[in-house]
Amino acid sequence: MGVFKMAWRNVWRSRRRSLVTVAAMTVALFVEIHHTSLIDGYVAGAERNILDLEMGDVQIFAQGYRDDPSLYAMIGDEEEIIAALRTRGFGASARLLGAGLAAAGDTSAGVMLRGIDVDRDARVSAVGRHVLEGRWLDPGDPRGIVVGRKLARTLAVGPGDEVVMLTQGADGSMANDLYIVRGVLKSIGEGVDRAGVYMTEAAFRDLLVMPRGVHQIVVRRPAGMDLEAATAVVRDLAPDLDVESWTQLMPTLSSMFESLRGVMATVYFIIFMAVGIVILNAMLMSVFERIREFGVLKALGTGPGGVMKLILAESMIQTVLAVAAGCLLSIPSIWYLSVKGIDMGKIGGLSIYGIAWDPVLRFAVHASTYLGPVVALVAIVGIAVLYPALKAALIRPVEAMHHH
Amino acid sequence: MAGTRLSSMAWRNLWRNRRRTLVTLSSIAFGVMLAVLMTGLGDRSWTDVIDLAARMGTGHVTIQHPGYLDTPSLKRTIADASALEEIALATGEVTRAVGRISGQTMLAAADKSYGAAFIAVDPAAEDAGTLSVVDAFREGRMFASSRESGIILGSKLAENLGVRMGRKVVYTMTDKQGEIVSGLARVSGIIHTGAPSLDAGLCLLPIDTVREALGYREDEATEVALFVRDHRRSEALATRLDGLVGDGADALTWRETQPELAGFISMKIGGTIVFEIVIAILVAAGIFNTMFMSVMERLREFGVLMAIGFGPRRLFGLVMWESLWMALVGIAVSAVVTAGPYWVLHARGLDFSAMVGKGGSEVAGVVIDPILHVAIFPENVVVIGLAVILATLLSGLYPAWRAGRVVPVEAIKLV
Amino acid sequence: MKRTSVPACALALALLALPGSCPGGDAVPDPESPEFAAYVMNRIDDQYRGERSHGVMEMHVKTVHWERTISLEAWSLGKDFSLVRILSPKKDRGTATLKAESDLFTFLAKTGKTIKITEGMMGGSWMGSHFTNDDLVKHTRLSEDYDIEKVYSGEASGTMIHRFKLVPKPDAPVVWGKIVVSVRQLDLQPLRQLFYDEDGKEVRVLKFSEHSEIEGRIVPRKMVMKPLDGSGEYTQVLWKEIDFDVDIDKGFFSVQKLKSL
Repeated sequence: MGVFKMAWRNVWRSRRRSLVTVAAMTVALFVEIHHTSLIDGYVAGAERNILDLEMGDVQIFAQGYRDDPSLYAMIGDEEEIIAALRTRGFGASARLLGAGLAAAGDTSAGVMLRGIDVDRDARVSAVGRHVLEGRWLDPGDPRGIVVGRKLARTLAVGPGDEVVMLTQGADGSMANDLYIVRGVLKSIGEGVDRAGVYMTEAAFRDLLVMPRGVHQIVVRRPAGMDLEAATAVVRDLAPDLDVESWTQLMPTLSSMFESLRGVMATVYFIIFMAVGIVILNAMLMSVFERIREFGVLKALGTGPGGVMKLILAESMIQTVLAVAAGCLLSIPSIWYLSVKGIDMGKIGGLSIYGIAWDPVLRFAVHASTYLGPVVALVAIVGIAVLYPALKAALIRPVEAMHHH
Repeated sequence: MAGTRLSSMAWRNLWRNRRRTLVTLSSIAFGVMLAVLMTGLGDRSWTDVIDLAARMGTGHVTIQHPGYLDTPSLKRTIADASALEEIALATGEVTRAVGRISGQTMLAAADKSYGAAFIAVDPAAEDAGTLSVVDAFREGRMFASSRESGIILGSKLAENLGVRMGRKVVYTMTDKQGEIVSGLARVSGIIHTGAPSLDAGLCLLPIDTVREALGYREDEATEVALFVRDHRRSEALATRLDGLVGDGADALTWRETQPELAGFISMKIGGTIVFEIVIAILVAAGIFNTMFMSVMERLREFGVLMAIGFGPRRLFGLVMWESLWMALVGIAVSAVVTAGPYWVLHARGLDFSAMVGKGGSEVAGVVIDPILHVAIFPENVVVIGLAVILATLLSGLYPAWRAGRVVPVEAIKLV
Repeated sequence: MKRTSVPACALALALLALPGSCPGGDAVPDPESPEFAAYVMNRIDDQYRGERSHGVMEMHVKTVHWERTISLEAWSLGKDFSLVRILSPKKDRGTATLKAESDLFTFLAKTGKTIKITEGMMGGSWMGSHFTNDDLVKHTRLSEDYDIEKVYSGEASGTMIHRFKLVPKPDAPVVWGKIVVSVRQLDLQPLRQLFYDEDGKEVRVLKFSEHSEIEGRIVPRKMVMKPLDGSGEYTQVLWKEIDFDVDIDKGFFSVQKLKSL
């Protein structure tokens, strides 16, 4: 009789026992799928937060700008660089930066003005989609500005309110003008929240009398290219400028991610071990209580190899059933969690290394979300069943039949 | 038959199948160990972070002017800081209480000027236990008196201003009347914390010197920072103090004065809880499996027992007792198994500095120590123990019920 | 662009009111006597007390990146009140600063808004020049905040001068290591102030020239403030017209007035 047929019959023969074992495996798989999804979602979310909102993958500055930010430390040929990057599949957008004073009513605050090309910037940064109140910038409304959350509170302004901006123009004049708040941002990061004012490129150039040049180019790498390779490409295209990847600009943040991944891997491993023990438990039970049966089998001539194969086949069938059940049950749940996520912090925003952290954790869904745990389950089952299978295979028929 | 006999019968049953029992016990022990270590890690880490945040900020509980949280300003002060300190200390829960003045100032040196946040402290009252930067002196030291003319700068701030030890710095602030006032100080210390926001934006001044500059009365301050032994008592303490300090002041917890850190911690604790639930489920699944098997294979036995007079309720009770014994022994075994690893991690800790970098990392303005220790709160140990018992008992419910449903004739027929 | 902090008197000297050594005045101590130094500094500190003036000046600022000339109309009452308004270029016309005792305001003509200068803005440049807002507001008194010593009396660059060394008193809220002030022997008018940091390095210099007599007062029509860092930057102020004894009082120096001009 074929091993599988026998295994299949064995599985169905002791329905309840099999059911319990399969149930245990299913629970383990369900948990593991969610755990994987959680981790992937966490890391992806973290990167999304930081890279999408503020940093991009790579940034370009004029030499010396980072040490001594000055209106005059400009990148002159930004158009060529941006065009060259785009042909290579990169996303790039330029920004103009300048310090100034914003005043509304009786209060004033020091601010960092950011002049951006609204359409282009949307390709490299998701800031425009993080408006809390009001709307994002519109190139057709150069008088409209969008301010950081805390700044809006300090100045006590909201959409529709007037703000006076005072700064020194590039020609030394006392640059000042009136703007209307179009929108207030959600928490983006410490710097933007406290002092960020976004305006259109045209408005910036007009206010600060800066007809040419930019201060910063934010670059996103093409999908599939890793960060180092991407940074190298950008450096080649801008050899006279200061090109840094986000890991170089924020080394402590980058190493925090590494440590997070390390911790996650450890946790992953621990959970798998816990899962493995559960399955070992189930398998052992299943084998040990049928020792008499195996004894009989061996007495009837089945060799140790055959017994092992039988047990392995049984566990494989159970595993397959568990995989099917586990995946089917996981699909709706993962779908929900990836769309809605879990809100893990109670406040509207928090900052780590000065960058905002979205407290809503969205689960990730990829082929690997399911594949990984399934493969791991199969591996664990395989390992867990080895000891019991060996034990059964090496049973001495006579002893076995006397068991119990 | 007497109840005790049920329990001893259950005990014997448990050990009849030693192997199965041992395997189950080991899975309970493993689960408990994981739970204890993870919780201990969390408890200690978060305690450390919160205590550090308290020392970098304004204590576990802060007493300040009611409007100060929304609009911090040197005009929003509390009077009688010392009286408030005494009230706080009198509650018996507060270990340290220090009055401070915090605000913004413009610092000017010969060529340059920079804005910075300042904290004016009484050097006699503060030390590393109340103000973490006291440990971070690169040069110089804390003030000798509360009325001297020294100033302590963050390392990057000193660099930006182009000053070194002993050099003059003129600080300018807005006083209570809205007037702009200045004072002269000489750099008496430079601190380096590794946190960019502190090194480039913080300075310390002696409190009485600042009081004089700002026209404050003798005991006036912007806040009184309170430190407690157990940070979990912060909320209760704040509520209690609110009643004691009167209308001119509010008592706030660190969660309210440092909401970003609170959010980060909530997020991380949330993650730990999820992890613990996962472990609990896995352990319960294993236990259920065992109990169920054990019942199923003894159906014949139960049939016999029933035939000789054991009622269904007694059988139910029997299996539940087995569950309970499993749980209790499980806890005992867990304790033995966990003690070793816990002790090691408690005394030595897990060194993450290779991954994070020696200086620690900055989260919400707080620097986090890369060496993680384990120190579980006793209450949490009790919780875990109870959870094990509960999980085991719950896992035993269905099998026990199943046992009680045995029909003797049918059961005996099973071979 | 580099900015600096200059004792208020020096700035007031040039910009706010115009000084004038009151002709005939108090008895001058002997230049060799120990009281002489204090006397000279007191004169410098108190020159504008009670003086009213109204004038037009031209300020030329040269920095590493740009060069600009603006024309300003100024009114003042003593050291505590002043109103300075931009006449040209057209783009900035109407923008003005008001100092009323220790409050400082800026009126921006283009937007019609008035901003009060807070302590965070004190380090900022005044009207784009090498002077800071702080300079206008600071209340240092040379004779009180410094230990003064006469170090030389004689000729320098063709003029007979007295030179004084000013060392800040230990508690004075002054960033300098020392200041060297040179005055004309003729009428004790300041000629030059040289500012040193604590390491003894020269940081800035303030020079006065083109002294003329107007309505009975001696006025240095030209003032230049120059950072000594080799950058070539400077701010120059040239008085075109001045009128003393104008009929203005404290009420003139108000925010409403700022707006209505």
